[in-house]
Amino acid sequence: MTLRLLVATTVLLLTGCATTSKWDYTSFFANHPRSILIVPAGNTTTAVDAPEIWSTTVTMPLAERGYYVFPVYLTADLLRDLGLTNEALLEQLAPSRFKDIFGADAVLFVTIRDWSTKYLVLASNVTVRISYRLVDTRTSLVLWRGEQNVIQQSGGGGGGIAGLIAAAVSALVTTAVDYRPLARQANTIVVGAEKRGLPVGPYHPDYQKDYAKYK
Amino acid sequence: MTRWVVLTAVAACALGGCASQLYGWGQYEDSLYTRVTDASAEGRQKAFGMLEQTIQRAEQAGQRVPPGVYGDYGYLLYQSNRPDDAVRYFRKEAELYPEAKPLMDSVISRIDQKRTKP
Repeated sequence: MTLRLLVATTVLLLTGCATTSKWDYTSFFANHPRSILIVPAGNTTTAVDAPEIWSTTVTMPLAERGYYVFPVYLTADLLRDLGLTNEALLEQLAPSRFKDIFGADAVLFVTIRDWSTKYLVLASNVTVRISYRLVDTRTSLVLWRGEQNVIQQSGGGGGGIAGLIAAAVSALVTTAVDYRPLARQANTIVVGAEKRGLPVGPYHPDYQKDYAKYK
Repeated sequence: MTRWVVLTAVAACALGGCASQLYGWGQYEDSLYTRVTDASAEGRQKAFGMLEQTIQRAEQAGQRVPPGVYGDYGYLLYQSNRPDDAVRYFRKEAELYPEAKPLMDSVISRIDQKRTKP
């Protein structure tokens, strides 16, 4: 019996959906932060590991945007030492405390709103939806808000029996769904969004030269 | 006839925008991920190796070491009972990124306090 290796190209459709409402950048420009502290994310989903996994995907997009991002793991452990283990406690804290303890100009509060995989007959949808809020530690003002939804649709190519097998195979690998590429993409799109993203920070060559894009 | 269906996923780079303009990222995020998903001594060792290599490669290639990498590496050194080396890397983080200085200074003084206590 001949074994045929059939490589069905997974049809990956990525849909990104960003917040389209306008944002007033006046406070942002008046308090342009140099450094951003990442704190443990809130989570409205049932995926208990989502906040920790998300935390491994956010340094790169923010740093490439030109900001200083505090060491993620060190920050998480220091907050744990202070008993600040969840988002509710962190939100109650006066933002100025993050200036006192970490010297941070701004804190990024994040809530994970969707982190799931849905299986259809011939395909699967992996969805990540995250909302973001950047708070100034000196004035307590919300400098920026964003929300990003990323859906990855994969379906077996070829259709018919092959398609069914493809669906079965993709169902078998469910435990191995890696949400990191989607989380990373959500983080990258939301900060880079035209007119609605995060103006670049001090380590970016366009620092303070891109304000017109956000007016 | 049996058919084997192998599904290929598009590489993470296509999805996540991993092209860097400013920094040599190496395996920093993989190192963080390893610590989050594998709390064992072995996991920590693996994460340690990834960070070490990230720093070496970036320095050798003349790339800027990304924010947080020296600091995080210093923290791993501290956890491995190497406080002198840890302090050295905390200082490097503060030198490269002045934004980190207040935090690095406070971490270093904590280490010094622990050391002066019997």
